Amino acid sequence: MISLVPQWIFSLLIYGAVALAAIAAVGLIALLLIDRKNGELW
Amino acid sequence: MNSNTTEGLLLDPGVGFALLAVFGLGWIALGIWWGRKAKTTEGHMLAGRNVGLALGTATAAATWITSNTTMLAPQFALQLGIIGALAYCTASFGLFLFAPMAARIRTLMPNGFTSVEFIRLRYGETAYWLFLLISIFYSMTWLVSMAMAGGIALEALSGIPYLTGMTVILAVCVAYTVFGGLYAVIGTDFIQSIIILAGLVIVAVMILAKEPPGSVYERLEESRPMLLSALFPAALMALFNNMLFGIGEITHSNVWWSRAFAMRKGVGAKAFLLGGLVWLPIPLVAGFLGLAAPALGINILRPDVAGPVVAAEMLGTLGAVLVFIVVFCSLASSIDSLLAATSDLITKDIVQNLFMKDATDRQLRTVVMVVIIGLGVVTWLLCLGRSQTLAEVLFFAGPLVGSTIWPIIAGLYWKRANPVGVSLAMLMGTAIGLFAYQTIGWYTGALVGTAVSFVIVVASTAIFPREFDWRRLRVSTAPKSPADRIREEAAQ
Amino acid sequence: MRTTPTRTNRLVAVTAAFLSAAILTIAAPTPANADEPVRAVFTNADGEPLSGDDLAADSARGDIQLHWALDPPDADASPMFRLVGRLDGELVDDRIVYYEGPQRRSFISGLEDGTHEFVVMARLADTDPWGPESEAIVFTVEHHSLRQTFILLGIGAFLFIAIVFVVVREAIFAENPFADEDDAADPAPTDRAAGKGDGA
Repeated sequence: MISLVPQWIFSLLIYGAVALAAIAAVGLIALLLIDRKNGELW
Repeated sequence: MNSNTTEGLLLDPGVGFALLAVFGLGWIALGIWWGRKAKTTEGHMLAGRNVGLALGTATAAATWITSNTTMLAPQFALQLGIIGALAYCTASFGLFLFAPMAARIRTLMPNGFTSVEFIRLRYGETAYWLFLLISIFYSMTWLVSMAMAGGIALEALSGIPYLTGMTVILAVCVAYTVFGGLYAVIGTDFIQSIIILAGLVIVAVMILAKEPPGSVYERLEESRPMLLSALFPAALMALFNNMLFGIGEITHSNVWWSRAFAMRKGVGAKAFLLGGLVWLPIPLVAGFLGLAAPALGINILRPDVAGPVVAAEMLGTLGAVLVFIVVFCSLASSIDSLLAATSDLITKDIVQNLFMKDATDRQLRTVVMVVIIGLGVVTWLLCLGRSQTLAEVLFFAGPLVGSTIWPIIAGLYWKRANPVGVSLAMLMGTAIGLFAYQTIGWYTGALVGTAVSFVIVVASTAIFPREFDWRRLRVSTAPKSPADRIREEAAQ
Repeated sequence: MRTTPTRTNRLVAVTAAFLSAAILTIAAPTPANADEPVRAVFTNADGEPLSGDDLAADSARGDIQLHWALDPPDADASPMFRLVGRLDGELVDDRIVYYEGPQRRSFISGLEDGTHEFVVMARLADTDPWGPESEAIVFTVEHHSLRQTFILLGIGAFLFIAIVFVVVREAIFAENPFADEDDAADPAPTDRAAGKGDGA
């Protein structure tokens, strides 16, 4: 018998990962706008 | 096989070349633009030691996103299932663990340049040679496998011949790294990480709009049940081996140390923590592309192109273009970092340390540029053969880098770490780890290398403690006359 | 990040079995147009007839790469193929359709322990019935033992926890050996570190 990962955990992982990646993209840009001391590159 | 009509390329070669030209020229232009800021060798190598949080976070994440993360994660998920994808995500622990170490590195050696330099000052000549060999071996195999993977990926996606694609990727990265140094590497890393994240999220959302995770799950349960198993033996066995491999890669490699030196005071720890968080979801998102294929009715021709094929089926030409750009960005963000960090290491720890102790800033600057170009040429020559064996050599690196984890940790934190024990730990960890890799299986290499090294470092330090004067780290890296001027300038 | 090297043939316990005529006659549907039934056959990666070691498969991971073609080859035809498989002991009627379409290869993974049997069939038009089944590929999957798995998990977990313990502990308690110098050289380090500046 195979002990499967429950379906709700699978869904949670997928939605969570996609959401976290989206937040990361937005967060990086926000961080750049907030913190202006970036090695004088920008 | 005459099945080109049904198993054709995702993208027209013309479109591929156009994308390559636009992005390649873009990176080079940015490199030249940012390169004007690098007025000294220190500026070129370490971006003026003034990198802030946003760029620091992005460069930690982008450098760790290799072409493996985007191309291989779907394959990994297809072969080792959801547990395999999660195991892949644990590579971000390397970034999390390096966060406090980055702060410590900057405290101990505010004027340091490379990881090899630290090992030499902390443990002496024997450890220096061992560590240098491991570092160079690892950097070169990573560089070669990445450039090779680039050529292969571009050929698989758009039919651009392997040699052309590989040459263009390398040439572009060498060009902007020579002109812009770490300024250009870190600046482009920021743009590249945004592109990679956005590209993956767009493709994943398109898939989710068509098939929710529930139906993906049901189709897998029916036809490929082990992929959903919580107890998939091969995936679980890979878990800690891969995690330790990743931790070893990050703790030892000058790619990460140079970033620790380059970040502004107080930034390093936060940047690596956030960088790990940014990286964490990517293997799972990319892995989902592979897992979703059966539910979407997409045939998996070969596991290694599963991700791109799914993206192209879902989004048509736009999907293929997105994947092409994402792959190009993930390649460039790692190749440029390797070129920069390895050239620093060769310049400071081989050329300057052994042959040009009194080199002026101007001379060193020239050396760095020559070394970057030389590295590019050597890599290109090694990639000409497109040898699969050469790419697989990278897997040998597991025991090597695993055996460096404890020497680094002990060196950074333990005043009484024994230098002889540390050298022995790297030697024996590598040897026994490689033996386990060959005799037991690939999934034990890094594990055994780390374990052996751990025992030797801890035992030798406990039984034969050797006092170390931390001041030696600072005296030896104290700025000399040319650098003094820079610091005075910077202070004004 | 490194992943599994594909040591495909090392762990393979694959046999291309040539099924007896008896099984074939029971399993194969009778073609309606008996004049032109098209046959499909498993091949190696180059489209040549399969021989012993050609299959790329990993028994301990439960994955296999399959290739097929028309038999005899017909360059002008544009056939459709259907790949089905079942786990030993399951009914022929319950076979899973892994692929249906014009492509000539497929990668199957995530198979559970046991003996799996794959067959492929072909037809020239959507309205035709499927042609006779090919000789079966029999693939025995045997995942690593859970005992070995948990031993490796245990060693790995111990090493990981040791690393985390030392690094976190030292990050909290380790003293800066240069605390005096740094304070003197940099009287207000928090200003520069806080990153609250109003732009460069």
